[in-house]
Amino acid sequence: MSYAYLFKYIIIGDTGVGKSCLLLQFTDKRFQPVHDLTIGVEFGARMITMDNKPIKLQIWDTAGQESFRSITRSYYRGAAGALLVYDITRRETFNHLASWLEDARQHANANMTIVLIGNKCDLAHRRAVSTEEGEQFAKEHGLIFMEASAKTAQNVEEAFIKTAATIYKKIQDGVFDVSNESYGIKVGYGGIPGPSGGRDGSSSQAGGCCS
Amino acid sequence: MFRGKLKLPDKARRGFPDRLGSLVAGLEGKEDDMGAYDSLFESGEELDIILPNGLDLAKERDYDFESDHCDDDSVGGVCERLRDREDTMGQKGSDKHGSVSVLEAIVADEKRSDLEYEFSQKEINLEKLRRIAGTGLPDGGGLRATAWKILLGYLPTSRDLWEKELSDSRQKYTKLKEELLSSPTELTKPPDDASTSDENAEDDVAGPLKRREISHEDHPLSDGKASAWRQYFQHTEIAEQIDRDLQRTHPEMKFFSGDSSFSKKIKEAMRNILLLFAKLNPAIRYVQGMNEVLAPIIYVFSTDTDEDNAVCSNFCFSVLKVFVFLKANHGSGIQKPLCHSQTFFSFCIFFIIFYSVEN
Repeated sequence: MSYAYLFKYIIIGDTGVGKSCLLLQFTDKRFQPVHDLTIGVEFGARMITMDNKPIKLQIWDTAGQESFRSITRSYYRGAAGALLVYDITRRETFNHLASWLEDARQHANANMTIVLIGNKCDLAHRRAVSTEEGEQFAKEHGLIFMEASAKTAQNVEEAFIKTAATIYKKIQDGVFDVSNESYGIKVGYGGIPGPSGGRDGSSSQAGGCCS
Repeated sequence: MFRGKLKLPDKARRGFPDRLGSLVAGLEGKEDDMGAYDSLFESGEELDIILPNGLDLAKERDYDFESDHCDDDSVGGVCERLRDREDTMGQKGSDKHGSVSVLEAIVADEKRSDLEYEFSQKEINLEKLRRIAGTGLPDGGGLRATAWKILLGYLPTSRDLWEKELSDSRQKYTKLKEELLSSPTELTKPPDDASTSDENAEDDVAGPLKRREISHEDHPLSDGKASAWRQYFQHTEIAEQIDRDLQRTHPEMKFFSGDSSFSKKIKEAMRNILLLFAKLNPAIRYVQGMNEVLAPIIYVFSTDTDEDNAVCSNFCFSVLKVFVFLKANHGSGIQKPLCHSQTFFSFCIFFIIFYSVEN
């Protein structure tokens, strides 16, 4: 399917915080209470529409365990957005955020959009990290913040789409050189007027902004 | 559930109907094959037709075999059969459901007797075993478990040494478990009276607590590298992680999950093995995915137990050797092989299949 843009995402965070479940909820709209653990890196994709343009999100879901860091680090490069996930019921996953962020800052391009997600917010009775703390951390580090639940799907769409919206805005503002794929953005055929562009209605208007 | 419960390989006879046929052959073609297997399972227990798809590995072996075969008469027979097998594989595109299944069943049967013969020898021919195993192992009778043990180097090729080797490594494992998996309270505890004072301490609130000598290094707050406590706390982290991962090790299989006492025992055994491995290999520790590698091994081997706790002791060393092997072969730590070794992960597919059929 054609798209105006392709955004590459990466999902990071400690093991067991629900990274793969968030992805599954977003791409398949379902929840798997016990997800297989991720070894190395997995991958998902979904189309969304933004400003009447079809945008493809290509999402790289990484393994959370420390031993896999050397592998996941190589996926930061070329990601336009990152979802940094912690588990609101496990304090240590919140405490490790700084080290994840450091990794991201070090290995990703500086304009990468990072969204902080406090997952499992349906388990409010087991909460170990308050919403305010999450907000505070995000504010300090200039991240977008939201609490989500892969189980109830609360805020899952929003998280991915808000990230896309931020990236999209950055493109509009001319932050990215979209012809350079190392920013994690690819201009697709759906975005420029051409022989294949006629299939979706949005393509004709998309051409102007991304040339 | 465990039809293959046999004490010694030489007792393995054909009392076990080989319902799975040559399912084993599907090793490499897992993705394409899953659909086919699913439909097979739905059709009931009589799984007589198995599609030997994607036998890349097997073919490779066969070609190897062709190049250096027939120096030896006994090998020649196997060679013939393997060629037959290859022929049947060649037909699979045009005639998937007809004669292939029959031929496959025959091949599996012959393979079974080959293996049984091989295992009954005083000195097992490793090269020959490798060749037979290279195209998949038949089910039942603990043949797979025995073959894996030998191929992993856990059992020596000389049969006479098996019993001794088994009891030796079981002892070794039990000892390691005592040394490494017990809490420092027990380790640092002086043997006699101190132990009772410890237990009384909590009940006896009114009186002064009895004190006992503690070495400079070994107390719960010690930062010393040699402190048993420090190590203990470090390892609790690993243990917690292992526990969490065991919860998501094949949750769809009753063998590994659920509240039955059996699956709890399996989980406990896996936990011990993984924790012990982490402790014995501080540079590698526990890496996610080890549970996935261990799972099929424990599954296959628990069809071959001859005593209740053998699951724990028997297989620790096999799995350790697998990891040592992987590490040695890649040099760059465990991550790479775990990510890339397709062959290894296809074992998992294996036992999912076996499990579905056995239950």
